[in-house]
Amino acid sequence: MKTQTLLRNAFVIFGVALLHVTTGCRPPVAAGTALVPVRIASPSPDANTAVTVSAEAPCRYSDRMPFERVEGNERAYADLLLMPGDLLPLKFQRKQDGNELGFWYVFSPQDSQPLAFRSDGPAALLAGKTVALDLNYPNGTGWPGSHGPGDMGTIRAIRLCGDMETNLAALGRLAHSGVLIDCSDQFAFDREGNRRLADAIVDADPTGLILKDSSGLERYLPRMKNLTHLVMTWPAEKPLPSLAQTERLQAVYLELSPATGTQEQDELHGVKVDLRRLGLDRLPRLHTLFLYGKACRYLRDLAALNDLKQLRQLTIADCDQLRDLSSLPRLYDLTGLEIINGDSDAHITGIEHLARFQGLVKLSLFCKLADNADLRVLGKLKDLKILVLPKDVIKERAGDVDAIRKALPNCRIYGMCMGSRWIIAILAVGVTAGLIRQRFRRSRTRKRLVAA
Amino acid sequence: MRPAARDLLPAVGFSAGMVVFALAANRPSLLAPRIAGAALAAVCLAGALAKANRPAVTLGFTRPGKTRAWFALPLCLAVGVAAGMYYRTAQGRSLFPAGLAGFCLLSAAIGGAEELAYRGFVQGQLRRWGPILPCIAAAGAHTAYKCALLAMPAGPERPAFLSLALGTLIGGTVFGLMRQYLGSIAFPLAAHVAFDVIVYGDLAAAPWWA
Repeated sequence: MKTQTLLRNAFVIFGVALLHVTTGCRPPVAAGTALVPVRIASPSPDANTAVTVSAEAPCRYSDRMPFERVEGNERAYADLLLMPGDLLPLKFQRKQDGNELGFWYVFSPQDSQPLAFRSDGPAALLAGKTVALDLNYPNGTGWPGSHGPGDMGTIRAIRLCGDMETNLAALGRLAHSGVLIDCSDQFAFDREGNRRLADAIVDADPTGLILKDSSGLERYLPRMKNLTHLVMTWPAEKPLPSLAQTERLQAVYLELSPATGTQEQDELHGVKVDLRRLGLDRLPRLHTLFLYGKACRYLRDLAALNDLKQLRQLTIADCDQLRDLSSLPRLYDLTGLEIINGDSDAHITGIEHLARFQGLVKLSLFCKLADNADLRVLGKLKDLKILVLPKDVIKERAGDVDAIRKALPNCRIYGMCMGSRWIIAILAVGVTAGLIRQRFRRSRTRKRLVAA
Repeated sequence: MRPAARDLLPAVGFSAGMVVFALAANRPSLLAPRIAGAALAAVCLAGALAKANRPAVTLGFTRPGKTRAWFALPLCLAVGVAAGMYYRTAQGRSLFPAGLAGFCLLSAAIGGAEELAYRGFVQGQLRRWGPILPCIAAAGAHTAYKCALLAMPAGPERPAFLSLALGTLIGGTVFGLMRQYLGSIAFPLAAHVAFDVIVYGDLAAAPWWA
């Protein structure tokens, strides 16, 4: 009886402790930085519905590496580091039928955390309110007609589908709503039939626009006066459009796609991308610029970014020319800088130039570094909270990394971790060695007994 | 050497070695302490098992009575599953993992190894000091290891150490009581593995601490 009581009490205490741990271990907002650790959870509407979350570039910050791209990673949640206003492409996939709900979400710290989205057919709900609608989802076209203004009024993002009438009907109900519109399914807006759709998009007064693999809508951008977020794929051989008249733009994610197919052909045609044409220096609110895509190698001159004094986050990916960091734009007020050249064999030099970026809170150098690069110079960046280096650099330059740790005790350095899995190896070695030794001892004792 | 010291020293050495290893685990430059800690733990474990008449019993592998096994094992599994479900719900995740992914086996193996190390070996070495004290001491050693491992997180999460320590200590003590009163390491091992599978089963990749 006494044992049973003891066990019962122990289970109660265990439950209380678990409650304490689960509520106490939530990641807090990192003090002194604008980076917010966020968990995006995807609870199943019922136990039989399996939902997975996957996220893809451009702004993916995972719990293991701040910009690790986890495409197709099947998990029920994702831990991210976000800044308010960051754009997040989310996908929820039902395992039973493979149906995928995809939408873009602009991170707002006011949304209660964890960000537990619920999927209801083509709609994504947050805290009971419909926040996104994916018309591409099976039977998604019928959703706008079967729901009232209460549901439509809370929608922040919509993904258009291939059916023109459905798109027009949905956008008609979202006029002047400031919704984020994803038209990334190869719309050619310069065609006659699609102009009505372009007008409907303008009438919705969008705050965000996803123009991946669509063309022709750039002519309408000056009419979108409240546009703050723009994701755009642009072929490298075409002159870049001017964004100067969309004065409220805060974040531009520009993917430069290859021009004529192969690098040799492009170089033969003298393809060059001139960033000055974008007119970014005339956007007073622009704080985030993300340049990526295979054609980034054709960027003519990064000095074109020198005038963007308002910029706070800059990411340059796949840019072969950036072999010497002294050629970085002189934007010393940046709080976030990412240089991603994972596929390139170029060894980056001029790391000492980074010491001038004294405002940096987050620095990612996901590229190969020259052997003589003086990593210790990063210890001079007193505000740095997050530093990402390739795993092999952390391994091979352990002394330098330790020096940075000492200089910046509040900075997290991402790289490698020998985690708790090693307890298995330690245990296996110990038990095996113990058993072998015991066998030897026993056979020795037996021999002695036989001899005696 | 006195018998009490002969039992105590391997347990203390193993626990200390694991703490040193865990502290150095996230620092690639601290290779020597990492190896030294792991070696100390392995040597202490090997030494104690070599001197034991029945090493399996030292690790807690005793055969419980049939009746007890039939009733207690499902109960322990249920405790592990229930705790895992509660943990997932509190994190805003679905009640059960949608499927079992790549990290599932590893998480189960880690949980099982922790039980063998602390509830099995450490608690077993201390059993001459009564039924309760070894449970608490082994849970304390486990807590020290966990806190040392998470002391230098590589991810954005900053564990709340007080909660983490309290949770591991109380949870470990409960697992220790399972071993003590149900008579075999199999019971806490099953509960811990069930908990880990439920909590981490759907992770395709290992979290930063693994």
